Amino acid sequence: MRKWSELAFSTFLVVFFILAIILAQGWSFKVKLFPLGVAYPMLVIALINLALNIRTIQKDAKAETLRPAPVAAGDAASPTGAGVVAAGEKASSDDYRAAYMATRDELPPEVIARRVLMIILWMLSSFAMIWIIGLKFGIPIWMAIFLRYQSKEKIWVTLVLSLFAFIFMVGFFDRVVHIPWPDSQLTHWFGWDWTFVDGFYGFFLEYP
Amino acid sequence: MIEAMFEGLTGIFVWPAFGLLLLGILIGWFVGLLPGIGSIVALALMIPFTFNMSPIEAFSFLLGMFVVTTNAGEITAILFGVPGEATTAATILDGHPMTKKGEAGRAMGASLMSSIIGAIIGAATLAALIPVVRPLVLSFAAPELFALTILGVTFIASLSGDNLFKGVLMAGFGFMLTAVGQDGQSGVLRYTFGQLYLWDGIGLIPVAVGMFAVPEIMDLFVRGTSLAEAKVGKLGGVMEGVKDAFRHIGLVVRAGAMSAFIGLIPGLGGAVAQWVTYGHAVQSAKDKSMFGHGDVRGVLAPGASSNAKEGGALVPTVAFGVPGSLAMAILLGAFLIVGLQPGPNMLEENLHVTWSLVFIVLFATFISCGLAFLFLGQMVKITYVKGTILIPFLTLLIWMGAYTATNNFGDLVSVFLFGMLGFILVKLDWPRPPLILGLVLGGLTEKYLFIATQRYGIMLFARPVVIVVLILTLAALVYSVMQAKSMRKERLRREQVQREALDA
Repeated sequence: MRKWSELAFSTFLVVFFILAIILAQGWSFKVKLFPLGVAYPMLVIALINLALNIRTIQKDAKAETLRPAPVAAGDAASPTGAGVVAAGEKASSDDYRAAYMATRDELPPEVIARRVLMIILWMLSSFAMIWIIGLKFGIPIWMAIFLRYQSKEKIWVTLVLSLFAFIFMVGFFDRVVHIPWPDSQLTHWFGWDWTFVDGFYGFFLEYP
Repeated sequence: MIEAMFEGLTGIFVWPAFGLLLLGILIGWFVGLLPGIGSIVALALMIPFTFNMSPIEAFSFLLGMFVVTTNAGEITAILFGVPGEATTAATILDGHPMTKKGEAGRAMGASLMSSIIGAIIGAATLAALIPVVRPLVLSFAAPELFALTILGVTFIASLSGDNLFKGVLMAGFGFMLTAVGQDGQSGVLRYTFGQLYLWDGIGLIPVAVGMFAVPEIMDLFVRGTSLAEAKVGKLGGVMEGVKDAFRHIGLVVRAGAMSAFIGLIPGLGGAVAQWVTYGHAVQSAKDKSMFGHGDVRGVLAPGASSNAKEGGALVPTVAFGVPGSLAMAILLGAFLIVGLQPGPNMLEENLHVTWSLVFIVLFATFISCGLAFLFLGQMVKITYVKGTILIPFLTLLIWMGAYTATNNFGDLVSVFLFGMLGFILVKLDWPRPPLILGLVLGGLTEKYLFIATQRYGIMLFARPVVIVVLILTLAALVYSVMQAKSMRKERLRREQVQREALDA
């Protein structure tokens, strides 16, 4: 799996440098000198890297077909990580490293994959929250949801921490540093600009 | 001379200068701990408050704050893997893995102690070079600066671990990212795809935050533990870190001296200094296997660099009114506000003010590190907080850090995309530091190459300093390739032993 991921990433780099070269073709010599000066040699190196990747995969596949009988999978919790290396597969140096990484975490690969997907979704949701509601309010609301439903924190812990984050953002970034926040999509869609909340916290922050 | 030195020293210990120094240190700590609100923003915000101050009061406040922000930025880099400043990103590489091993105290102790030593070197550089620096700085024109950036590129090999191919490709990727945006010379838009956000290019902060902080947050979530995987000692080895700085005193001094020199050259900047010293730490180490996995030398070198480069950067600012960095350009504004004219005057009539700058850099570092040592124990405790509670706060920090750097929503998208790329690189074992070094050096290389070729043509390679630097570059390159080869050999041998053990 890792070898295929490596191959995919190497291919991405080749495509990246080819695109960089193609896009630079229309520019004047001075403008394209630097990008092309970098992209051409990099493309050569990326192609060599890709070829090496393909050769490794071919070599491993050949070794696998030559192997007379599958070797039993080892103990998943062994310190060498033998259990993570698939049975019958000739373990390449990369597999050893991958096995080490997995056993270091002492988590089954499917749990790791599920958690990775979950955190990516959580990060995407925080981004969506910022985009839709705005940074000032999106982040504390997202924090509350995360703390309550992912971290399973008590309701008062969730509220206190989220409120702390909100006061920190508004108190320092808004009131002291005067960061110009990006408009939320709610503002674009409905003209909703949160002034009622501004008035609310303004009352507490300014009047005393 | 001695009289001016004494006047400069006593000047910062009278009221209200000393009080302002302490206030600056406090603000500096607070600002440094917040990613994105860097020293530049802090300096720009605080300059209006200096209008009614005397020169020494104003610099006690501003320079004290400025010096401290970098120290504080290293703390967030070590504890959370979030760079407080673009110039502290290199500290993450080994500082954060040390935190995971339960050695946060040791890493912070090492970083602060090396900062103190770096500050002494920086201040000494400032003190020693002011009278003699003129010919040195004037001998560096665009061709020499271009040659220096090429020398910096050779550190890619050191930052690539045992796979030079991957390191070079990542550096090339970083270089290509610097080509994105409006071309500085002609105004032509390159690789912008019709996006207004890309006109200004891709910033270092969103890339550094994304590449280093996002994978750490993901790792924390996957592990489901606290930041520290193990508990070590009462304070997590703060004193051990201090001792480390003295165990590797040679490295710390070399890193400090290199950074002071880089700071001295206008136009190279603090980020270059950090990566170059980190690269040097790797390059000069006999056993490189622990770099990137929590080697204290990877914390010491950038730590020494953080304050040493400021001493160096002050030299051209004070002596010629040529700012060595953006922060120095703002500080130059402060010179004018308080009625000082940088230049020969600062070495004659206002020599005591120049000396006060030396002492402010020193004492601000001493005081801030002293205070930090008092509270390190409390800071280390953060690493034992449940990961699921820290993750939302770290997420808040990365979004805020990315956004406040340029106040552009596109930076959030960049953080996410580079975060995903960083995660892929970690999983596939591709080195991330060369990409950052490429991003740091790419713009400078292109700029100086353009100016040098326009002004000198091919004759740029005939200048003595350029020839010397290029010879050094070639030597460093050959040495790095040989080292990478021997590292690869060593890794293959280790894996062979491992494989035999498995087969048995």
